[in-house]
Amino acid sequence: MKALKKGEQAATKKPEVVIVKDGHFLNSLKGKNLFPEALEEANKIMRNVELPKRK
Amino acid sequence: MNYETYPWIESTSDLTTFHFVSEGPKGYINKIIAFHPMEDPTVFNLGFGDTHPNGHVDDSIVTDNGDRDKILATVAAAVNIFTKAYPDYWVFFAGSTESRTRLYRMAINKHLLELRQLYEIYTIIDGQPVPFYRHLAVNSFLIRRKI
Repeated sequence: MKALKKGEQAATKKPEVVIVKDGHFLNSLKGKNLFPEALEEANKIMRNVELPKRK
Repeated sequence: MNYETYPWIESTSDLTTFHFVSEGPKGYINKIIAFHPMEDPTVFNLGFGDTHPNGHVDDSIVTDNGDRDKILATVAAAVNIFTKAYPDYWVFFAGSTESRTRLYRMAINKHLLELRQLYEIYTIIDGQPVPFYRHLAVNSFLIRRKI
């Protein structure tokens, strides 16, 4: 069994991801602002915040 | 995090919108996880809620389906997938209610060492990003995958 590297543990219990096909209801939600109040609040908090540079 | 996740989740091809089904005493409940770009397009807001048959998505409902940890682990898995695909983007999240924010904070506190290996973790205090440290009482989180 391959030894886990640092940081891999969080990825060991992961679900299988199924990419949906055209016509699936999830595609109709893609790109829509599904949580407008949360997004507005998030934008308020993040407005004018200078993002940290990558270390 | 070694919590059990739901075994499969559906996603759009751009890995921004996810769906899975919560199973528990209250029945089968459709859950949506969505990453939506914010005013700064390098930051995505993480939204999470239930979807109803009429298409409405509700992020404040408390369904109490007895699977809290499994749901949190599944949302964490979606964050892992999104940030793996878009390592240069930030993910912002805050609970839609005080209790949900507390839940996120507790989960992050509990797994902080492990999460720090994968992510840069900040909070916003007085308009400034501040590295998150254990038991800091905050209301929002800003994370980016380490590369």
